[in-house]
Amino acid sequence: VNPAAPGADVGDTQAGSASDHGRRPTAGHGRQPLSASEGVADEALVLWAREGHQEAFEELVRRHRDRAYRVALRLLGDPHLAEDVAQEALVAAWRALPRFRREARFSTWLYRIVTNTALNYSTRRREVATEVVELPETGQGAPADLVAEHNREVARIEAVIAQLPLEQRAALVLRSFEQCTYEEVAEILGITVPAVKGRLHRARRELTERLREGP
Amino acid sequence: VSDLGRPLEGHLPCTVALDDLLEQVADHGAPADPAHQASCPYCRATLAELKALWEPVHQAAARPVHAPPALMTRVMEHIRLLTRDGLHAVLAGAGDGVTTVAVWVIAVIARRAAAAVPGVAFVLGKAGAGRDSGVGAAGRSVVIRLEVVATYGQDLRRLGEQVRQRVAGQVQALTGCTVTEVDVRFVDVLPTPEL
Repeated sequence: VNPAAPGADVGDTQAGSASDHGRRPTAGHGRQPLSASEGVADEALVLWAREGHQEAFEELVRRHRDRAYRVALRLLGDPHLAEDVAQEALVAAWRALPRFRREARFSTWLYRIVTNTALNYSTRRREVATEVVELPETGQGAPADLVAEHNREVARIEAVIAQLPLEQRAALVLRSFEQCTYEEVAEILGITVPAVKGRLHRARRELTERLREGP
Repeated sequence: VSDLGRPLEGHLPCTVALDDLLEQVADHGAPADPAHQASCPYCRATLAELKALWEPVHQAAARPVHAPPALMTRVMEHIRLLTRDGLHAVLAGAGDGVTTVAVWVIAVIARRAAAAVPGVAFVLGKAGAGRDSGVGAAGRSVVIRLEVVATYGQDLRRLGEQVRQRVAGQVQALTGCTVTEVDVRFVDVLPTPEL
């Protein structure tokens, strides 16, 4: 059962993101120049980019940069690292364009590259030093500023998620934050759907335990 | 509020699996058995606790996240460098601009360095910008191919080694590029240096 349909795309609110999934019908629009590229499907841009047209890839980066950065941020919990990972992943995507399968969706494919890059970073970093993620302070007194309180709460959640075991974290971020379907998560992580479900069960239990422990 | 002692694995007394309730809350899913859930106190209490615990998670997920503005520029700069098909070496560069040097410039430096080695009569090479400069570049790594005419009667193996060292040293000194290979091809020998 997949109750939460993908498509409620949290965060991608910038211009051009309507065709984020490449599912918006282009029929009737005709082929438009790249300067008016919102109506062009991702698939067409990928084909042009494969032929070496940088403008086409630039448009893909414009559409998907938030997604790449957001996933990296949630997997790593560090804005600077996330920016590096997003950059590396987008450049890797350009290099790997010849291997892009036509039946795949660009967003799913990019998720896969970003996730792998982030997990590599995370593993590399752990080999250097065991990191300690500091939980942000949550003051006991009644906070006058509700926005600050909200931000603190979000930061707390992100810190807790960053402490989950890698494989659980990846499944949880893709499912609960990116609203991917189980099938998409399986494709991105290169595992089976039952394996995804198993990881998600463990991740949810683990996260809930940590949330119970409180701030 | 929370039932701290209760493990999250297993089943409730009403036999509903805790994992199923967790999934329902995490994914905003529909209950598997709405009629049961509407009346079961175990399910209702557990759902209430899980919903409260997961509320901040859903809020965090709803927070819009935008990539830093510089990301796009950095990615496209990098890609433009990659697609310069090896005709430029990159000396330095980050967000504020990039210094590159054309391979034929490196070829000039390499030829002059080689020509200064005793025993080398002259070094062949095409002047000007062309693809066949004998130099390949990728990022800061450079591979150089030289066609050399030597004076007669020398140990060409040793001369080749001297040329290699001198060229690598000079290119490194003037450009900062790492010379990974210098191929020296002796294409002729002259009977005496004067000829």
